[in-house]
Amino acid sequence: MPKHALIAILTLLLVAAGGSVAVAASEPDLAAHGPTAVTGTDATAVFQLGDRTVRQVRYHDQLTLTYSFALSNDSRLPVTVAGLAPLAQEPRLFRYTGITDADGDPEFSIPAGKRRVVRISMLMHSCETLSARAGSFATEANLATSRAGVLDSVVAVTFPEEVHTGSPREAFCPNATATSRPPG
Amino acid sequence: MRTSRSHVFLVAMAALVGLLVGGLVLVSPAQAHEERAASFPDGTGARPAYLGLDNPRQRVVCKPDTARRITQMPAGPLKTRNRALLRRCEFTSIQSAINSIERRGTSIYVLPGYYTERKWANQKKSSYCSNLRTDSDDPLDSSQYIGSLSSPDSGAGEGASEGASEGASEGASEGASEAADETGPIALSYADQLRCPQNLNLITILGDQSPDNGSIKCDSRFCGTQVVGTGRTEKAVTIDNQFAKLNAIRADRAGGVYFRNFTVQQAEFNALYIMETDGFVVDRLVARGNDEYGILAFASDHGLIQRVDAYFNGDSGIYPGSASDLNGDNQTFKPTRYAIEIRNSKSHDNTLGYSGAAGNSVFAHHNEFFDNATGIATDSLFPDHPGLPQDHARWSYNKIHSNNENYYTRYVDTGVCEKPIEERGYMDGTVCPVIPTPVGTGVLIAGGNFNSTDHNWIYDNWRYGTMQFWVPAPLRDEYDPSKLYDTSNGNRTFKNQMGISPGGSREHNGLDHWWDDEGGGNCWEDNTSSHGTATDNFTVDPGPCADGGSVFTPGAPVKDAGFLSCSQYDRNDPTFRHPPACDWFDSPTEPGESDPGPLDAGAASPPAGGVGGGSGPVGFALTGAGALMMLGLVLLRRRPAPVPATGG
Repeated sequence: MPKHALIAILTLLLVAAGGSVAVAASEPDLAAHGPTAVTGTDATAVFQLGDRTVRQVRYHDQLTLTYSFALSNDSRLPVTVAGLAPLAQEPRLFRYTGITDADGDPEFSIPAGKRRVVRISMLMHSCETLSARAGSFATEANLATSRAGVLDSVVAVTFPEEVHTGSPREAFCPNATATSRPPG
Repeated sequence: MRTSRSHVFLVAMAALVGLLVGGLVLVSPAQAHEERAASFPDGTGARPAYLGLDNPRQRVVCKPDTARRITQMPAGPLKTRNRALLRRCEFTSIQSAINSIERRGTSIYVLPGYYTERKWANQKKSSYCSNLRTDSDDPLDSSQYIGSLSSPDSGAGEGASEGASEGASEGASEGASEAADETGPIALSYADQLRCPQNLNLITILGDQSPDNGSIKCDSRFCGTQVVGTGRTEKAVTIDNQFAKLNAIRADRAGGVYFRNFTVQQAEFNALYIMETDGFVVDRLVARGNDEYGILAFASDHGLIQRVDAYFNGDSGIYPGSASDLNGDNQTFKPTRYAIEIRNSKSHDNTLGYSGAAGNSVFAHHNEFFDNATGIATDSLFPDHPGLPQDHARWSYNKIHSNNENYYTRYVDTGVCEKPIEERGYMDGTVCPVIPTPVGTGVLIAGGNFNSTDHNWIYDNWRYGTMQFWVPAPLRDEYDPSKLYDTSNGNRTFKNQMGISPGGSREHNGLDHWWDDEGGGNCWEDNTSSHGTATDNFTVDPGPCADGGSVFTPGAPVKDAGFLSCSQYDRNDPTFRHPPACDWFDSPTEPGESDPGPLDAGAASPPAGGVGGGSGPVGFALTGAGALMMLGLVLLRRRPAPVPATGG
């Protein structure tokens, strides 16, 4: 093999390897967008407060709130969302129980440069641990993703709205006792 | 053209009235505290008059050491009167004396002493009262059920200094042991309060003897009862609940009740709780050392609270919450009348000096609110208070100063508030905040309408002298889009001395006035400031009161009052003791002579150009409502001058 051909091949390999490392090192570029929707509550409203967009939902203990929004993949590779990863700090009144696409598939792919509607399920729970005058936010989710079947990463996605609920009065909080929840 | 403009004006007016009146009239029957649903009295009652120390209809209560205490009183008519009363003493328990009342307008004379009411604190419950959760004859509707309360361990009363009280001789310890194993509803129907008055209360006056007749009026021999300490000062008679019961004293549908001249302390909920009562007076009381409230009057009318000293309370010293909503349909600044008057009182060293969720039609004047985290707060933040949104309170000629106490860092962060309630040191000054509030604030309007803050001395509050912001209706569980912006409108702040003490010394507030720029009809004028001109963060000129005040905007996008983030506060959760993005619990620094500037860095940004809207149909609906509201209020700005301020 001529010497210059060998150099060219090595250069190409280095470039390819470098590119792979760069792709592997970067996180998928996922972002959440409207339109949004919720199910699982009988009252909801969206309002703007300062520079914050808040979606208020009425709490129903042990019911599952489904929050839908569009998820864009602005990466150069398709991204597969395989589920949720734990949050550093769980919201007080929401427990994330799963993510699906619009068809209900718990594992789905988003082609590069495309959007898909996704649904995050949140169990409304633990009202008995929080004052009736307090509230709780769900503002982001950690998504377990993979690219090309091998590049796994956890991507934090901030919701288009801050989902907020107020802890209900004890009447609607079946397990509440005066001693199980702080006063207020 | 003229016709067209008039037509638009009327439409806009209708929209405004719809927004405001709708929110005021459609009142939820429930409330946030652990309590049955309350309703307002019909307003036919009257404030009672004091019957003195020589009311022939009387019961006298004393303790074994009362004679000694009287001996120590200075010579004079009061000492003579106490000696005479002592000779007639038949009771050692206040509740026992109340229970013996035969005629209306009876005075319970409580002679100097220390009263723990062990007989009632430790009374063994009847089978019925022990099983209210499952076997009540008059249960609350399921929608009103309020959970349960572990019966307070009456061990709190152990070691009490009552000495040879009757409690010790009436099987108290047996009752306490049994009670500790019981649980029961924390909210009872009125009928069950009547059957089980001591389930939740140390001393109870229940005036409605016929709960099934559809009326909440006082109709019993207990109407007009007066509980009067006969000592030289309030502290000569101390009623100490020792956290044995949820409330120390409960007056429920007790029209004409009068409380005077004693100290009441150490309750998890309220030291003195007045509920659904038309006509009451609280005079010369000390209310201290409570987990939540010193004096709470709820859904009551024709009330007077005066010469009170309230301190060391984890919520507020004085709480005229959900006072009768007399002006709920009054769309002018001037109220028709006030439901509750608070005067000549001091409330200090509490989380809030005064609080008023749905504190409607309250007139507080010539009081001093100081050394709290926040001096005065009224709000429409919390769901299920009758009378929301809040309206028509007036705070006038009060001294509101030095409200910079940071109990969050002092007692919550240090773990003091995690201790059993009896060990937290409430009587030594511990305050465990149950709600979030911006430390260093004088007057806080967190969603309210047509309030008047006038002629006060508001100084030495290191964050803000006054703070006013919008509370979106959905936060109080009101999802009608037309009500989204039904707070904070029509509030006036005028002729106050900002940063200036009554003696004339300059004691700056951090910022004299903070406003989120939201709402129509608000104005700030003729306030004198330690800075010469009052400092504020306004990005729009609210304009003169006479011209209608502010033109509606939905608020400046750069201004976040912080209440949403801070609403996650939970003193029992290490993470949410300081919720993310909440700075209310940061101690503000004392403003210096050369530091008159506003704290709010975002104040320079322009006001919102439009109403923010979320995604989805409801969001668009709310956006539309906001735009309509703005249009309406722009037009309303052209209306004739409003009714002048009361007393202004």
